[in-house]
Parts: sequence; C-alpha cells; structure tokens
Amino acid sequence: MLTVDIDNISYTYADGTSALDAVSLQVNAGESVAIIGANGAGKSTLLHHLNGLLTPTAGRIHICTHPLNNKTLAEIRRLIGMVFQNPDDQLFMANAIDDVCFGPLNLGLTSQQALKVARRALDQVGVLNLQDRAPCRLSDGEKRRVAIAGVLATAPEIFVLDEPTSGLDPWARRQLIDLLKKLDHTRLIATHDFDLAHDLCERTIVLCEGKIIADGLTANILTNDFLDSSPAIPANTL
Amino acid sequence: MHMADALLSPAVGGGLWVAAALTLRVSAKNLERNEDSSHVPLMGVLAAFIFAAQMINITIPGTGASGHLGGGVLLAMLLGPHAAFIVMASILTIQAFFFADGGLLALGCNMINLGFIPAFIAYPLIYRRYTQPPSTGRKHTVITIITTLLALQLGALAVVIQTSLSGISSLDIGHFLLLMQPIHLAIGIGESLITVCVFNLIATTQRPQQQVPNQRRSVNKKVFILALAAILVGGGLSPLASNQPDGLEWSVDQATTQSDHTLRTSPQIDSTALTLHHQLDNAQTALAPFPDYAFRRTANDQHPARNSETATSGLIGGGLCALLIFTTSIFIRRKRQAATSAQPGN
Amino acid sequence: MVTLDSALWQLNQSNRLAEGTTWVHRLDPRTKLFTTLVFILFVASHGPLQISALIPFIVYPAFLLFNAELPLDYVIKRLFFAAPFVLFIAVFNPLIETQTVIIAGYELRQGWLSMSSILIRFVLTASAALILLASTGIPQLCTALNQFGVPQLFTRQLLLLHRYLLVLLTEGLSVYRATQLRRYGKRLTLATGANLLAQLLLRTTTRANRIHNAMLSRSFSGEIPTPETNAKLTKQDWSFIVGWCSLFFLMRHINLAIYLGQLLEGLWS
Repeated sequence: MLTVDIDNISYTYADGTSALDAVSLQVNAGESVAIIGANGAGKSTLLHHLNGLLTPTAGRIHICTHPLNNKTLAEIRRLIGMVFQNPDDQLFMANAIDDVCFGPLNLGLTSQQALKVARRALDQVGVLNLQDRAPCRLSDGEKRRVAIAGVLATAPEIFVLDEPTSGLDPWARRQLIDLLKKLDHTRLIATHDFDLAHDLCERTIVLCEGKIIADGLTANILTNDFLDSSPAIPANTL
Repeated sequence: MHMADALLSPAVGGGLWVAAALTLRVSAKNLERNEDSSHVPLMGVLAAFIFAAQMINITIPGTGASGHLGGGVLLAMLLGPHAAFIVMASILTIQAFFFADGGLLALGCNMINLGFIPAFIAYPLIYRRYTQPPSTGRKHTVITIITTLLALQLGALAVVIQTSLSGISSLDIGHFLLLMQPIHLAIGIGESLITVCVFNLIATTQRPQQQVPNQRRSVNKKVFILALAAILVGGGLSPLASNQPDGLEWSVDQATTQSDHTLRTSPQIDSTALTLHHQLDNAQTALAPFPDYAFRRTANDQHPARNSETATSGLIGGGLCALLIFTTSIFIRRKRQAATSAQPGN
Repeated sequence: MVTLDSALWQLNQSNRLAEGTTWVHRLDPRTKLFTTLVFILFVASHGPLQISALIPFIVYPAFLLFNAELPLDYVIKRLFFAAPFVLFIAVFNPLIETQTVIIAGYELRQGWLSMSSILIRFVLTASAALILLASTGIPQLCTALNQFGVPQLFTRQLLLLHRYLLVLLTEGLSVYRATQLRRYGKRLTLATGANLLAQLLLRTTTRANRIHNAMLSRSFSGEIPTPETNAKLTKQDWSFIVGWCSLFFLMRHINLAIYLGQLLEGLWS
C-alpha cells in the first residue's frame, strides 16, 4: 500500500519565497526513507505538510489513500506520528506519563486505557522508571525517548522524525538509533546524521532549495562521489 | 510592588480574593470560547517570558536608575485583557509559592493590583479607546506610556488602600500615598519606556491583538463592578467592625468596674456568666476575621507610658516558646539523621 | 530582587525538594493546601500589636520543615529576598506610633511592637507557603486547586508556566550573559535591553507555535485532558487537618507564650 503519496506539491511563503517546488514522493508501507539536505532546503517544511500543519499552495497529498483536507485532518493526524526536532516543544506536560497520555486521551481512550497504553510505550522505549519525572529533570536523550513514546502511544502507521539525533552525545545517539531500529512502522526521517541514514534507511532523498534532486538507495547516494558533485552542498564549504 | 500577607487582614485579603476568583472565572469562561487553540501554549510560554523579563534590570536613560518590565500592559496589548489577566495571575501564583513574593493571602490582592488593574482598567480605558491599528507612531507611544503610568499609579493606590484598611501597618493613607505614588511614578516611567520599546520592536513581525468585539466590553464592565463591589465590601467591613468594641464586652467591662461588690454577693452565678461570656468573647475573637484593635493608634499620641506586665510575660514566654520549638526540632532531626546514617545501604 | 541565575537555582532546588518521599510529601495535596490556608488566616487575624501570641504558631512550619526533611536555608534564603518590601513598610511603624509601653522595665515605642508583629507574621506566612510548595510540588498542587474549584484553564496555565519557566529562564540568562560579555562592565541600556527582550519575546512566540504544532500532531483539540484522580482523603489526612486546625484555634484563643512566661516568672519568684 502506498502510505505516503505526495503529488507535485509546491509551497510558497506569504512573502513570496518558494519553499517547495513541485515535490513528488511515494512511500510504500514499511519503507524507511531518509531525507537529507542543507539547512533551509525545505526538509521541515516538507514534513509539516504530511499532517496538515502546512497546506500546499499547489498539488495534492494522500496519506494511506486518504486525501489530505480539512475533513480528513483528524484521521490523518492519527495515522502520522510526528516527532519534532526539539523535545522541549513536544513535552509540555508536568511529567512524562501525563505527556505520553496526551495523545491517547485526545484520541478518545479512557483514563485507564490511556495509562495502560502510555506505560507500555514508555516501557518500549526503556524509560518506564522515569514516568513521574518532570521533563526539565530529564536528559536530552531521555526527553527524546519520552517524545517518541508519546507518539508511539498513538499507534500511528507512519513515523515521521525531524532530526532525531541532533545535539545528542554519542551514547544517547546510539541508544536512540537502536530504539528506532526496533520500530517496524513506515519511517520518514529528516536528518543530517548520515550514519543514521545508513543504519536505518534503505532509501534516501536529497532536497535542495525546495526540489528533490535525488531519490534512491542510501548506499548509492551517501557516497563521497555523489555528494561532492551534487548541488546539495553549497560551493565554498569544503 | 507586591502586597504581603504580613500587612494584610483576613477581611481585606478575603474580599480581594473573592474579586480575583470572580475575575479568574469570567476570564477563563471567555477564553474557553476561543476557537483557535493556539492561545493555550502561547499563554504558557509568554508567562514564562514575562517572568524571566521581570528579572532583567535595564538602566533608564536620564535617571540612572534601573527598571524592569512589569508585563501587565504589554500582555494586554499582545493577548487582550482576559488572557493577560490569566497570565499575570499565573505568574503571581508561581512567585508566591516559589519565592515567597507576596504570599498566599495577598495573592488575591496582587492579582487585582497587578493583573486586573492593567488589563481591565488601564488597557480598555486608555489604550484600546485611543489607539487603532496599525499600532505604531508617536501617538501610540504616548498612549502606551500613559496606560502604563496609570496602571502603576492605580496599582500603588490599591496597595495603599488595602494596607490602610488592614490596619497592621501604622502608615496612614496620607503619608502612605506620599510615599508610594512618587515611587511608582518613577517605576512607571521606566516600565512604560521598556514596554514601548519592546512592543515597537516586535510590532513589525508580530501582529498585535485586534479590536475586541463589543460583547467583551460589557463583560469587562461586569467584572469591574463585581470586583469593585467585593473590594468595597471586604474593605469597608474591616474598620467598621473593629472600631467599636463588642457591645457585650463593653457592658461587661462596665459592670466589673462599677459594681464589684454586687458581683461578689452572688459569686457562683455571676462568675459562671462571666466565664461563659469570656469564653464566647474569646471564641468570637478567634473566629472573627477582623483584627483586634485593642489600642487606638494615632500619630503623636501622647499618653503616659502604660505598664504592660502581660507584655513582659509574653516576651519571656514567647522567646522560650520559640527556643523550645527550635531545639526540639533540631534535636529530633539530628536523631533522625543519626538513625538513617547508621542504617547500612542508605 | 531575585536575579536570573539565582532564580534558576531556586527553581531547581524547589523542584528537587518536591520530589521527596517523606510522609509529608505523601499526604494528599488538598490536606496541606487547606491546612496552610487556615494557618495563614489565623495568623493574619491577630491584632496588630500581638507578638507573643504569634510565636507558638511557628510550630506548624517548623514541624513540616523538619518532617519533610527540607533544609532550613531553603526557607531562610527566600525570606531574605522577599523581605525588602515588608521591611520597607514595617519600618515606618516605630516612627509613627510614638505611644510608649513599658516592657520588663524598659520604655519602648508601641511602633516597635507592631513592627515586630509584622515581621513575625511575614516569617510565619511566607515560610508556610514555601514549605507547602517544597513538600507538594506544582503538579499536585494544581490537582488540589482543581478539586477546590479553580478553573481548569488556570491550573493548565500554571502547569505550562511551570514547565517552561526553566527553559525561558535559561534562555534569558544565556542571552543576558551574551550581552554582558560584550558590555565590559557597562550597564544594560534601554536600547540593548529592549532588543534583548524583543528577541526573547519573538523566540517565545515561535516556540509557542512549535509547541502548538506538536500538540496538533497529537490530535489536540483545545482541551488538555488529564488522567482522572479519584483519591479519597485518608484517616491520616483527616487527622492532620483536624489536629492542626484545632491547635491553631487553641493558640489563637489562648496565648500560650504568656502562660509559659507567667509560669516561669512564678517559678522564679
């Protein structure tokens, strides 16, 4: 099944600058896709389109065959689990368990059910012992894991992660990659971390100035030859 | 400045608490009707921003003194009066709990002085009435300054009234006003300049709050009247009740001084009545929310010094009491610490 | 006034202390909130010249402080910072109330008595609030507030403020230090300060946007649902409330300090 079907979308800001230009992307169930590109290339903008946070100025999007529009927004947000770049933006409740319960409760589960699901999710990411801890008392790596648990608890079809390993120390990073390996959802990961892309994603897309300039096997794309010659890397940087 | 528990009587504090609670209810109801849910996180983080901003001291040009952002007026300009009040109220609550700033009894007063007054009096009366978008230009600057100055002056006035009505500080209204208003004028100049500058800097990127529909205006009036009523009732009852000694008490005093021998003739009955009355009297004092104006205080009151034997006992006893409590606590804690450190695996 | 870095430190300390596991911490937050409010009301109901009657009230904050294993300097430091305004007003009492009273052979202005009363009230009420927080924590207090009828919107706001306070204070401190390093001892001018605040404010609003996006992504619809708590007050809670409130009533009714003093004087003579 085609879980993500982005058909020729474009997005322009209010001041006229183009962020995405005729982007098309099809992702099958179970695929893991890395999205790489320089800062400002449009990675986050693309991801924000997937669950309707942004509306394309042209083109259409289908998620699990549902067309993305106002009526289907609620359903699509249930299908897509998005983990944001900064866990402080995601963990806004007073403690971990309350935060992980937020999604399930919004989806209509009772308190008891939500707590059960939340505990299971926290256990899955290995931080059940931190369930009563306040976010400000968690380390960066722990925060990210709680954020992932918060999304896991909503049982999405597709996992979307925006730079999941940025700012993490090598040990926390390794733990996070191992955790993500265990998830069998369809995965879209925007990242600067090429090793993560190698480890987790068989397919890689390269964004440059709002356009997809490459889409293929990670092994073929993340090579020195390709990247050196690619316009994705601005001149004068190497 | 924050009002403190130590200067407040339960009546005044309670009255202002009712006013603040009412306003909280009304504002909460108003915000719940908001269709756009983005105000939820915005109010939360803006509150944290104002909290942090209040601790950054900025030197005011021309005065050499430093001021800081108060926030009430800026919040009203950014969020509208209801959200601004809720945000200020939340900031004051955290300050009371975490930093002993103000106090729990005075929290109601502080919410009114630093939240209600800027958001529901200064802002609608001046800012919203005399400015239209776009919110820039010299006129806007002047209006903002006037709004902030008014908010602070009224806030200071409120503190004076609340303190004087409580009667715990001996400052009379006249002297107190002379003290507070000029200080708050100076503070107000600093705060208004900072508010104006910050607002102007963000006005280009952030669209400020649009004109509020008429429906909200009438709610503001209602809130205003209710709050004023609560303040007046709480404040008004306070001096009235405590000026006159209790009627019974007075007559008993009369009786004891005038007719001692009459009382002695039937000691059993009368002493029981007296004891009962004393008990009731004491109960009333304990339950009554009004302070006991035992001595009438006026400036330059020249009476001969009164010998207060009970005061002396009180001092001795009080000191001993405090000593007892502390030494007992420290002793218990030492004992407990010794016990926990003696246990293995701790 | 508290500065940014000391506020950060104090905030961290308060949060850490609230995680304690003593029996005081485990009491229902409604119990502690209610008893503390009653305590403050009783303290505030004393006459302006009552000093000795107030002193026995120290037993409540002292009891809680030691049983919740809170460090004494937690309270002392914050009292120190919060004292200025109260002191400022209280100091006028001896200047205005010139009527004198003789105590232990010394002639004192009545104003000194009322000033002392104010200071004692301050110590009592402020420490009670501080100790309440350190033995309960904001999330639990908010649950208690909800149960007492405070609008959910307000407690939700309190929780969010508390959650992001550390983040904003850290950011604020970071920006402040950055300007400090390039000011070389000069004071923060209006232009720099306003720019600093404006930057922080803009960052705050964009952060709010991101948080909102994250909330929407998890199907946020305007209400923040929280798991229900149906905890009932235990026997321990009730005995705490009844016991302490009775003691407050007793201490308000009888001046224990005077009795003690008179007892001592009796023994002496």
